[in-house]
Amino acid sequence: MSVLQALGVFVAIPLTFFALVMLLVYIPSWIRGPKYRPGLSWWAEPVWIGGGDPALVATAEPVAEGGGCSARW
Amino acid sequence: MPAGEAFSGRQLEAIERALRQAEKSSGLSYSVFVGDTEGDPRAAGRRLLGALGPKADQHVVSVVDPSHRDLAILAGSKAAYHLDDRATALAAMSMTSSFAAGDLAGGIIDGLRTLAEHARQPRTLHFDEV
Repeated sequence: MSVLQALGVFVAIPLTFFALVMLLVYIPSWIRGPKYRPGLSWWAEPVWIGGGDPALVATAEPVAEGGGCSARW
Repeated sequence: MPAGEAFSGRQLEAIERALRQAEKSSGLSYSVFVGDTEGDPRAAGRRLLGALGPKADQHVVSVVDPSHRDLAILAGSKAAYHLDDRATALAAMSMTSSFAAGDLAGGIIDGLRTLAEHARQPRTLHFDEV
């Protein structure tokens, strides 16, 4: 067995195998994107689902609410 | 972490479906804001109601601030007749229990469902005036 063959069998093949396993492990989370984890910082742009024009919010006069509540987690 | 979208396409779709169902079953309109409110989601919610203009009366806005782990549910002046504070507190509880487990979209959907279930038509006291 030449040096090159030995390198191929004992280095290249295991490394390829490790890389393959790593890819298989990480690909699902790459596809899903970052996930919210309580306690870590929030990364996303603000979204207002079902609401009005977000551009109006900066200039809007606050309106007193009729009711509601607050909570923390 | 890099800036990106808060929800995947499928999650957004599910939230929008929950919004539509809640509107259909309770007659009030709902929206959800998710983003940084600098630690004061109530003030942010008031501004959001203000941005809605005349529609704000019949509107219920849920403000979720994941970076400060803070939540506020605000009902407009007319919507508050249908949704008392006990109902919004119940919805807030179902939201925060999911948020604490890291499930933002699921918590929002559960909370909207709870809000819609508890929005009741106020009792008519004067039938002769209807």
